[in-house]
Amino acid sequence: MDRVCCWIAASVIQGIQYIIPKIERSHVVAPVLGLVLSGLLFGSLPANAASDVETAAMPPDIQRIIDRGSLIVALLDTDNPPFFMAGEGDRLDGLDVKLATDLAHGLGVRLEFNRSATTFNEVVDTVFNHHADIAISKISRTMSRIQRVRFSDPYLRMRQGLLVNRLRLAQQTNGRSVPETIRALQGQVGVIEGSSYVGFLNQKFPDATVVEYPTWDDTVDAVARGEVLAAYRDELEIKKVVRSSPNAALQMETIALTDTEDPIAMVLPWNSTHLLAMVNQYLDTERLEHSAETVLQDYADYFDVN
Amino acid sequence: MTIQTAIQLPRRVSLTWLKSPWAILVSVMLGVYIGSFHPVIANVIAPIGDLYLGLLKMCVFPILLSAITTSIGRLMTSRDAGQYIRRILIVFPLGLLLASMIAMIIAMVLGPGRDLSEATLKTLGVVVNNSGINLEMSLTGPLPQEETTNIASFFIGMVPDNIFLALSEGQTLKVLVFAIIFGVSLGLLKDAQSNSVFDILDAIFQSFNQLIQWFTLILPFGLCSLLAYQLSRQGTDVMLAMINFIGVTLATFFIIYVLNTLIIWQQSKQSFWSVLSAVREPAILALATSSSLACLPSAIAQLSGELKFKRQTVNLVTPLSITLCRFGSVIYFALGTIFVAQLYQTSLGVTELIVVVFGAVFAGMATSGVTGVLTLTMLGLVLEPLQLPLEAVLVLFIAIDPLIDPFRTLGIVYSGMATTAIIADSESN
Repeated sequence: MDRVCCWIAASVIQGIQYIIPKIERSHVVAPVLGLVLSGLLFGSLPANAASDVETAAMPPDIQRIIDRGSLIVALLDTDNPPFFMAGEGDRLDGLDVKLATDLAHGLGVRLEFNRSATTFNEVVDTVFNHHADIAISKISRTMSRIQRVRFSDPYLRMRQGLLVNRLRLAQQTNGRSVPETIRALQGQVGVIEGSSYVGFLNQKFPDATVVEYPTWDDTVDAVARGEVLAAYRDELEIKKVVRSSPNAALQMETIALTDTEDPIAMVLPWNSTHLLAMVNQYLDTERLEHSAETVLQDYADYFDVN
Repeated sequence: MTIQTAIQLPRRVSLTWLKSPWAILVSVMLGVYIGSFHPVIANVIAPIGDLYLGLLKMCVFPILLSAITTSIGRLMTSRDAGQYIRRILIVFPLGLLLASMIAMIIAMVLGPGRDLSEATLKTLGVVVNNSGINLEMSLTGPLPQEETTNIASFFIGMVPDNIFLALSEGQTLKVLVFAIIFGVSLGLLKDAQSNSVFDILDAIFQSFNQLIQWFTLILPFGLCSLLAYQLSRQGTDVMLAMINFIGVTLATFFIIYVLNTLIIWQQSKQSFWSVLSAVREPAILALATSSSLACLPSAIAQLSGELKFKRQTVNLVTPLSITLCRFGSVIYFALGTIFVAQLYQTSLGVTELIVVVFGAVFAGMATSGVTGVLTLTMLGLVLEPLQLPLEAVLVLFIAIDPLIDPFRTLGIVYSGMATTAIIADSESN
């Protein structure tokens, strides 16, 4: 079922790309060349506009969505509560889904999801390749990602966190306080393969050894087993672990790093400038800036076991 | 029935019926009933218990200071000094190590932390989560200064740099050390003037003892209110999840109680029933007040009064053993350490077990300088050398402490009395 949806979504997008054809695709191959070519693209836009008055009345990125009658939002294929997860019936629910719904409503179009991506980086690629208009999928702003796409203002500011195996940490303290031990963290720390935290780890904990796991569940399991000393991810995911499976709380402790940040933002194709302005205006007007605490509170029902 | 007739005759001047075991039994039962079924009433009558506890505590420091100073001072002038000091130096450490070892073995045999069910772990985890002990820290900037407890700071902390501050802040350990030093110097004066100081201190001791005797008249009221309030604030969820550990702890304290009773009985050379009746008051007080200090006057009075141990020795040894030895805490920490090791599935070798025995003794004694939740954090002194984590289990220990604390206090007071019984000679000898 999912595959059929994806196929339909993909063919719809391909249909749209008919408007801006081969030039776009070449970005993938040669970004530098892409810059030059995109200059050509924008150069060619007024020419298009001259021939078609109706298109000229609207910014092209918005026009594309209006013509299609739907906003395509890229979303990771696996559910990630409280951001996107199965809600009542076959509808999706969550913070990201709510934002997407509001945006589609603002544009006066239907909402469609493209859930073909299996990793967060693939979600970014989906947008970059114009297989979606926007990604609202708990994407962290990073320097490597912004080279290819644009980020909205953050709608959720989180801190980074560590999920630490209590026993392993107690073996490392040697009379030092916990903050002191964490600052000079040594030993193996688990992160999700290819996630932004691989880079964060090298930057914040240079003495620690990176161990990459294919999924977050694998990483958490490794901490529970004591295979690695800690797992490194955003504060929210860390706290979710002990909230949703309380029996882990005896084995693992959560540490929020107060002077770190993991801003979560929406991802747009670099040339969707007007949609970007619209998204930022929406975030600004609604004063949408969540924190890990507010999100955990608002969506407590989804992972609290009491 | 006898109680009813007694209550119907309040006009009589005699209030001795308030001292009868029946009055105490009735007040205990009433307290248990109110605490279990009427928590609101328990809260309303709580001030009566606080008042009673306040009156008892009021007498503790004068008694502590005068009893120890005079008995040490007199000991210095008597020829038995060396003998008593030797006995104290042998009996205290041996008793503590023995208590620690017994608790450790019981915990290892019964295994309260082994094979806990998923559901139990889940309940415990929810408790830990709800406690909000998530650590927040920064990676840069100055490190937060933490109060650390180690052996060196413990010994430095024993000496009061200002005795009046120590007295007004109620720092028992410091007052104790001061009283010992003061008593030694007074005893060594060998001057007629020092005798008048001893007389003054004696008068203080006697008058406060008299006060304590009068307070036993309101014991039934205080007891009822204290018990009712204590019972009304027990949480059931954690208690059920920790049932294994609580069971093992209570069983251990019961075994220690029986052992101590036998020791006191042997040493006092009185009938078993009169021993039981003599220790009743401090035991009930311990359970009701959860304050070993508040029981100190009663313990001294019963040992030197009813059980006829030498007054001077009792005056010295009982305050020392109750405030310094803290058998109840030592036993609890030995149990707790084994529980944590089992919970984290860490097997302990011979070296580690020796660390447990000695560490529990040290951590237990370290509780004499602190009150409240800090008492339980001393468990860290044992867990750290064993490389076991404290934070999560500390939350659990705090959660069950309203139930454990009375029994731990009983362990402290009662073992202190038994230790005194071993060291002190009976007056009939």
